[in-house]
Amino acid sequence: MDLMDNKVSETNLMVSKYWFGDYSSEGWVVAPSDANSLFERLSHYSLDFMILPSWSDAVSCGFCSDRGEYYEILRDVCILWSQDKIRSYRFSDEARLIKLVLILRETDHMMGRVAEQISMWERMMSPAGSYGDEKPKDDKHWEGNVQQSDGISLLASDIAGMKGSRTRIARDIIYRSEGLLPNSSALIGPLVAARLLAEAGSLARLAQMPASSIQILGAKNAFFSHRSSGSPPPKHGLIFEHKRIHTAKKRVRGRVARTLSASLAIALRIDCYRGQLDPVFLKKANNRIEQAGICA
Amino acid sequence: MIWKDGILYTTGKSIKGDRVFGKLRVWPPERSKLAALYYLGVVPDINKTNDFLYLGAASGTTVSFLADYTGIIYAVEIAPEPLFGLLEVVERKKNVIPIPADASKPEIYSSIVSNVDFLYIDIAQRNQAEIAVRNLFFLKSGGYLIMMLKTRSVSAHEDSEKICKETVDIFLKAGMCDFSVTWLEKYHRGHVAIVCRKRFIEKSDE
Repeated sequence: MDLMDNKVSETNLMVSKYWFGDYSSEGWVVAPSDANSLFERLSHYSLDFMILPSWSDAVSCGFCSDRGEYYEILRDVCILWSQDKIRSYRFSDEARLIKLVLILRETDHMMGRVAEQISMWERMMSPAGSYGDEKPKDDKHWEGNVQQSDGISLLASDIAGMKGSRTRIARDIIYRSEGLLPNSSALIGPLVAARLLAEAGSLARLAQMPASSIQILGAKNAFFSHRSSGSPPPKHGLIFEHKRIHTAKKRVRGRVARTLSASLAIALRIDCYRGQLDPVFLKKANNRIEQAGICA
Repeated sequence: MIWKDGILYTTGKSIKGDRVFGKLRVWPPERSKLAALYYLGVVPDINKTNDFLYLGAASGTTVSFLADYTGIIYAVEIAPEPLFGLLEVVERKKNVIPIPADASKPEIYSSIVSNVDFLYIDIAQRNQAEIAVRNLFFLKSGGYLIMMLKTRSVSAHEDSEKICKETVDIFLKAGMCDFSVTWLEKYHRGHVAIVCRKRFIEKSDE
C-alpha cells in the first residue's frame, strides 16, 4: 500500500478540500471558523480522492490556534451534521411508514400470544370435566366480558380494546402506503407492499432487488433451511399474504408467485424512480398474473 | 486498564444504563465486544494520546467506554436510529466526534479524519474486510487494526474458521502483520476478534 503517503503530492494541481479550508498550489484559502457555515460547506462538496487533514495544518494556515480548538470546532460541525441526518430521517415518509409497519407487526404478535394464553387459562378454569373433551367456544367468548375484576378478565378486555387501535394503525399504513407505493399497492395491496418495504429496509434497496428476491422476501427461515439442509425452497414469502396467491390452486401457486413478483419488481421501480400511478402498466401486469393462475 | 477483582472498569462520566461503583463504570463484556476481547485475549496498550477511527459505532455503548481511555474517537455510523443514542454519548464524552457517513465510502469523511493510531471496525456486513482495507488509509504505520468479525454476516452456511482465515488473508495482502485471533464465543456468538498491525513503511520512503 504505497497510497499511505501522508503528503498530498500529486494533488498539487488540484484543489484539496479540507473541512477547514482549500489547499492548492497557490496556498491556503481558509474557511470561516463558525460551525454552521463550515457544515454548510461540508454538505456542498464531494470528494473523489482521499486526503488526510491534520490539526497542525489548520494551525499553520491560521484557522485555529491549537489542537484543542481544532477538535472542538470539528466536533461541533460533526454534531450539526449528525443532527441534520437525524432530522431528514425523522421527516422522511418512508422511515415513518416502516416504523408503523414494525409497530403493527409487534402489536399483532403480542395480541396473538396474549390472547392464546388467556384462552388457555379460560379453558383451565372452566367447570371440572369439560376440560379436554369440550372444544373452546369461538375466540370472542372472553371479549369485553368482565364478570370478575381479576387480572385476567381486565387483560382480556384490554386486548379487545387494542383491536381498535390496531385497526387505526393499519388504516394509517394503508393510506401512507398508497401514497408512497402507488403501483405496488395496486398490484399486491397496500399492507403487503408496506410490509415488503419494511422487510427490505428502504425503497431504494427494494427497487434494486431482483424479482426472485422479492418473491421470497420474508421467508428467511425457509430459505436458509433450504440452503443449509436442502429442504424444498420456499415458493413465496410475504407476497403469500395477498389473496392472489393464497387463493390460487396449490399446483399453480409457484407460477403465480413468480409472475406476481416479476411484475412487482417493475412496479416497485416505477414507484421508486417515477412515483406515479401507471394504469397502462397495471392493466398489463394484472392480465399477466391472471393468465398465470389459469390451470392448464 | 483498570481491573479490580477480575472486573474491567473505566473512569469517566457515566451513561444511562451503566453499572457504577463509586467513580468506576463497569465495562461489561456481554454488551461490548471490545470488553470481551479484554477478558479473553490481548489488546494493544491504549492511552490518552491514541486517536481512534471507529467504524460502526451503533448507539455508542463501546464508544462511551473506550472514550474514557483514549484521545479523539471518530465514530462513524450511517444508520439514523442509533445516531440518537450516539449523540447522547457525544454530549457526555467531549473527545468523541460523530460522523454520520457510510464506512464503505471513506472519501466522504476523508476531509475530516486525521491520521489515527487505531482502526476499530465492528460492522456486520458481508464485505466488512474490504471496507476495513479501504479505511486503512487513515491508519498510521505501526498502528493497530482491531476488527470484530461476525462470521454469520459474511456467509450463513460456510465454516466460521474458514471465513476467519479468509479475512486474515485479505489483511495479509493489504500489508498487515502481527496477527492475533481471539474467538469471543463465550460472550458474543459467532464473533471473532482479529487484531493486527500495519507495517512500518519508512523503508519505501527512502
